[in-house]
Amino acid sequence: MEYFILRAVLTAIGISIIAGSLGCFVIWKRMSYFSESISHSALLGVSLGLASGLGIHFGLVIVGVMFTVLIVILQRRKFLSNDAILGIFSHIALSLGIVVLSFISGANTDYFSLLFGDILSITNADIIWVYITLMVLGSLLIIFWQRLLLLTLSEELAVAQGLNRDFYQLLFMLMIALAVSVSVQIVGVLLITSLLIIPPAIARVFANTPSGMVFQSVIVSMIAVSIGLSASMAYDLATGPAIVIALGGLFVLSQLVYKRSA
Amino acid sequence: MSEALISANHISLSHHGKKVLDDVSFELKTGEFITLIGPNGAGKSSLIKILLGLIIPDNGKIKKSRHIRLGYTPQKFIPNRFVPISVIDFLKLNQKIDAQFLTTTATLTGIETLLYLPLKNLSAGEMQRVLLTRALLAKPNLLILDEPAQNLDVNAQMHLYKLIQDIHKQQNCAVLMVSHDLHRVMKESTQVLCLYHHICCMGQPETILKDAQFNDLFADQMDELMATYEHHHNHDHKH
Repeated sequence: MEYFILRAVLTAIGISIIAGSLGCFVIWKRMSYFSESISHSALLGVSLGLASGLGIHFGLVIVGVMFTVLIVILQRRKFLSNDAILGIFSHIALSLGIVVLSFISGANTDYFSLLFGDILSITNADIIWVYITLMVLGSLLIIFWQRLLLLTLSEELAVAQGLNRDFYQLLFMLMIALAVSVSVQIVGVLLITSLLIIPPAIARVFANTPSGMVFQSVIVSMIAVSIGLSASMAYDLATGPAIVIALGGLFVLSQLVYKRSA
Repeated sequence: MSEALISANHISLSHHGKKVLDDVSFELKTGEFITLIGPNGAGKSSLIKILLGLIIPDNGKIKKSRHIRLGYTPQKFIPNRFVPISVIDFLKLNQKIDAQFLTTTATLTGIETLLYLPLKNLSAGEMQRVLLTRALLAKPNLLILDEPAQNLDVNAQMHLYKLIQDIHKQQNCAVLMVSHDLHRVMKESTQVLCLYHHICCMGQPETILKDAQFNDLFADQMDELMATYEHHHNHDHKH
């Protein structure tokens, strides 16, 4: 197997586990618009990372965390509805990203691969980054699983039991920001949210338990990402769209199954 | 055993410029049973939510004992319907419970046949009992119940009130219960707290019945209620 294929596969497995599991909470908590906003900020993260010399990963994490905190601050003010705040951030972030990127690197920037993903751009360092992130997010999810799940089911019961709602909400949002930061290269800024929400949406049809849904969502994600990657390599397609179309196909199939069994 | 499990000190809360709670203070001691009554919109649920830390009051403080083990059933409970979870997994969520205790408690509340159903499929009455079960599994020394009997039929209500009484007595568990059912309240609580934005009156059921403010607030229900009690008032119906 050629090295770049191996790298792509390893990255895909890591990202499927991250996005497939966190994505369940994104669906349960109805936070897909939040993940969309954060992923749009990723372009700014990439450009600032390149400009500062810190590298794209640090740039992504720093900008992701910054935007998360800003969104939380605005949400606390209760002056605007959540979806308005997220909509504002989403597009400002995307525009800033594009403008800053064009200042920094001139005309020869490959916007297309940033927006839609490019497996050929993955390096060994990227893979290490993905697996470090996987370990961090995996441990957080295992440690806080029960608490996050109770808060998701009913904030009222969770707070009455003494859980700090704001802390866990912020923690979860930061986890999403981290997940987004590692998914940029493979699916691109514009399509990250689909990797977070489509696999759980498919798993939702079959799952009876929360952990079962996480497990199935990860498996679904791995299948779709493999199909998408293969198609992308075989036909020289943009990786992100190829993966999303594979996810879309599985989603349509799952809905057909759901209709029959319901 | 005179330590207060939970106390409210000078709690005030406004909502859209309207006073919901005005300088409310009271305490609940180990083993007490207080029923919170008051007309709709009197601030009962708000007070409960402030006690639990779900709402931050504009003024005043809540003090909780360090030994508090709290069980709570909300008035309206709509679990997140996107999470696929069974009743039993919901009961076990974020608390350590041995299987034997779970079975006994589920039998006590009559939900043993519901354990493996999806949580979102329950009827309102079933959900009410599942919530009480979850509250009891915490082995509480304080139960806060916000209208636990709503959505239940008469038999189930009787059963539920008896169950709460049994737990209160056998486990010396303090209870703070919001209720509309004056009959029950008068028969069973050790203390009644009558709330209408401020505390109108507080005391033993017999004392409360003689209270003028209480009679005003519940004027429409008083005749019926008085028929079952051998008190004879000449009260004014101001409403």
